[in-house]
Amino acid sequence: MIQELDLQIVGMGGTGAFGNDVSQLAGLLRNGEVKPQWIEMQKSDESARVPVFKAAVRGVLKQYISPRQARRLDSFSALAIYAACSCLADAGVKDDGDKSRIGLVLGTGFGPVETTFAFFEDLFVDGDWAASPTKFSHSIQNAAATQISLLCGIADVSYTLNVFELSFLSGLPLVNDLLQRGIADYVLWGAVDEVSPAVAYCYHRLFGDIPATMTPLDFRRQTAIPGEGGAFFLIGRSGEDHPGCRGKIRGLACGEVQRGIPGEICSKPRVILGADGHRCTGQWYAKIMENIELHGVDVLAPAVTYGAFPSGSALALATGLGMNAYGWRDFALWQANPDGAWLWLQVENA
Amino acid sequence: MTDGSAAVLGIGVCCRAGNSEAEILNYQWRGGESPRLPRRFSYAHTRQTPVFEFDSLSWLPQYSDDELLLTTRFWLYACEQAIADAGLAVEDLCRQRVGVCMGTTVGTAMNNESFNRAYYAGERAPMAPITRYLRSNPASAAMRYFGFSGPQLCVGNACASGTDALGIGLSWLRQGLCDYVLAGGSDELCRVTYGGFLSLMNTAEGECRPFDRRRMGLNLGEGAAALLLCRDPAGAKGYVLGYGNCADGYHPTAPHPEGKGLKIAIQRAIADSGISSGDICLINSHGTGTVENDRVEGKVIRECFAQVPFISTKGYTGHTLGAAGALEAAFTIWHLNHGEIPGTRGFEELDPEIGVAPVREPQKVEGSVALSQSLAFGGVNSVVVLAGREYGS
Repeated sequence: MIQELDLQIVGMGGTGAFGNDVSQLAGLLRNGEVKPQWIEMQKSDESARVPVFKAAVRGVLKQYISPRQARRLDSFSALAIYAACSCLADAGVKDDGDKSRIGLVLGTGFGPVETTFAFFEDLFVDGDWAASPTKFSHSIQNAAATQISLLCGIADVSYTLNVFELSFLSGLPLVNDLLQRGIADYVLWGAVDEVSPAVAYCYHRLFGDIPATMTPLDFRRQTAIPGEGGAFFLIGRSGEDHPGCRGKIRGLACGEVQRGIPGEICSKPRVILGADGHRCTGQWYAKIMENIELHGVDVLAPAVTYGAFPSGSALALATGLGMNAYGWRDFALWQANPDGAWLWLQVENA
Repeated sequence: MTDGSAAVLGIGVCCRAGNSEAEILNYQWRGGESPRLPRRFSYAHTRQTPVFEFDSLSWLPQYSDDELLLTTRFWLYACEQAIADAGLAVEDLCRQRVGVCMGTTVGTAMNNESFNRAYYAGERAPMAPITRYLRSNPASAAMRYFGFSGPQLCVGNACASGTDALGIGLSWLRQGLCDYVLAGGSDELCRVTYGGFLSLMNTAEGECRPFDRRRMGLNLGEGAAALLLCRDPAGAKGYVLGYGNCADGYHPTAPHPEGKGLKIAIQRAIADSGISSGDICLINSHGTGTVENDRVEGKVIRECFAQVPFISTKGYTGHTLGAAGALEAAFTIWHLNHGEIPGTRGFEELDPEIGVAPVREPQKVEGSVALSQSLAFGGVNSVVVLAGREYGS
């Protein structure tokens, strides 16, 4: 069943290995290339080089917050703050403007993994008594949402959501509800994940040697390169047309691949897949493609520009909006998880 | 239903106080038991604070060939109990659109100590904890285990997560996204939360004393609660009438001193439910026993509901974090249905700074509508309006 929606996207911002301007994502996907960094790993008697897609926001945070505030942020919150602030700026929301009617819905798959590891590190080095209250409180999943509320002044409804690959899109019904019930006039909706050396190590151990290039549309191959970043979108109700509107969200559907995919959502001619080089989800994208290829669609998998991380579909949405410059008037975004659950989003570009 | 409420068809729970309505109410009427030092793990610290930990986990099934996090197994147990309590079979539900929305703090955190310790030491780190974590997202695990195909979500709003999950589940039903929702929360006790709360200096060395002048902190607990919600009131054991959320935007861990966000969350929940504040006959407070939480929450209750009896049930279960809001919603519905509330275990002496006292001894409660409220790290406040089975009749 399709949930018909009538929401407008009035601003977007984000970050990733591609840089700090999400409006460039579509161009990079069409005409550019983003290369991963390589991390050297030495554990026990094994060594490895693991590619990662790292974002770099420390140098640009000062556009939005003071150097002192920026210094105090952990890497996860820094990504989230940059993505949120750049989105608000894109929407024309001024730093000192009224934000009292803006809600916040943030998805993340892994949450603040660096800070969680740092919390443990104190215990390993100095013993249990050395647990840091600051690191503990910053390791809580909603720490980044808290920082957005404190530093950006977004202090209305606040949610942090976690369902790995579905963390971003699963928040949309909540966003819609908050807007339709008039709880908020706008909702800052986004998702963020960070990559840490421990995450990269897990990729190496779970998947062996990782190729230097992702091929996410080759669904049978494991080519995921761990990445990080995120994006936020300022969402408002339609009917209150905003001059900076980037697109309109028209529908959402969810289901399970093995139960079949409704034909009515398979006929959209332009498709963005959340496929990111993981074979465990690739098998389900392959099934989805069996349905939608019948209609001769144009398909993109933009994860090659930012890497593999659970909430990457936020950047996939930004890519689709940017495809406006290449004649895409609308598109469908598909996201699957390893169990075969899927979410489908229908968007019209402005 | 034509109004905006959701019927609670079944309730499943597990916590230190028991694993069923009868066990838990009996435990509460008996006055409960004291917390004790954790047995499942040790923590080397000069301060040792007691917890409400399960005596044994022999009652808890494995549920999967994959090893799952304890939090996830608690959640699956609570969901199974809720379905059974509703008199439904999983096979029947699988033919409908069923969503799962739950709150947790531990169930989605990549915080396995054995992996991190080996990784830190430069050793070959075990991967089993990582694959277990990746397979254990409680919402996804429930979808997989039961074979549901509706929306799925874990809420990571710290200690308000369970209440938020109920509110989001309600919104899914109102939007027509599914026919049924399993909504609630789950969390296990572990060294990370134990050590983290010790470091914050807000766990009590004895029993927690919610709202008491001498309160010194909280007792951690563990458990889960799942409420099977749908729009059709036939067979309802209670109702979720409305919900509100609001952040303080004040401090990373402390509540706003005037309870700014909590007051707005209460107003929103009442407006959303279509009742008036005069209909409320009971408040199940967050009431952790920490100095700041109880001071702020008590002050808001005094300002907004001076004549309404309120209780904290943390003295029976400990603070179960992501499960707390869901467990307390379950208790509240049961209390309304029985027309009686237990006393606030641990409370003895009025705090003049708060100026109101929770119910101290068991007493009758008249009415059918109650609030259950949660205050969380990050300044998140969530409130749900609940009703007993007699509501509207």
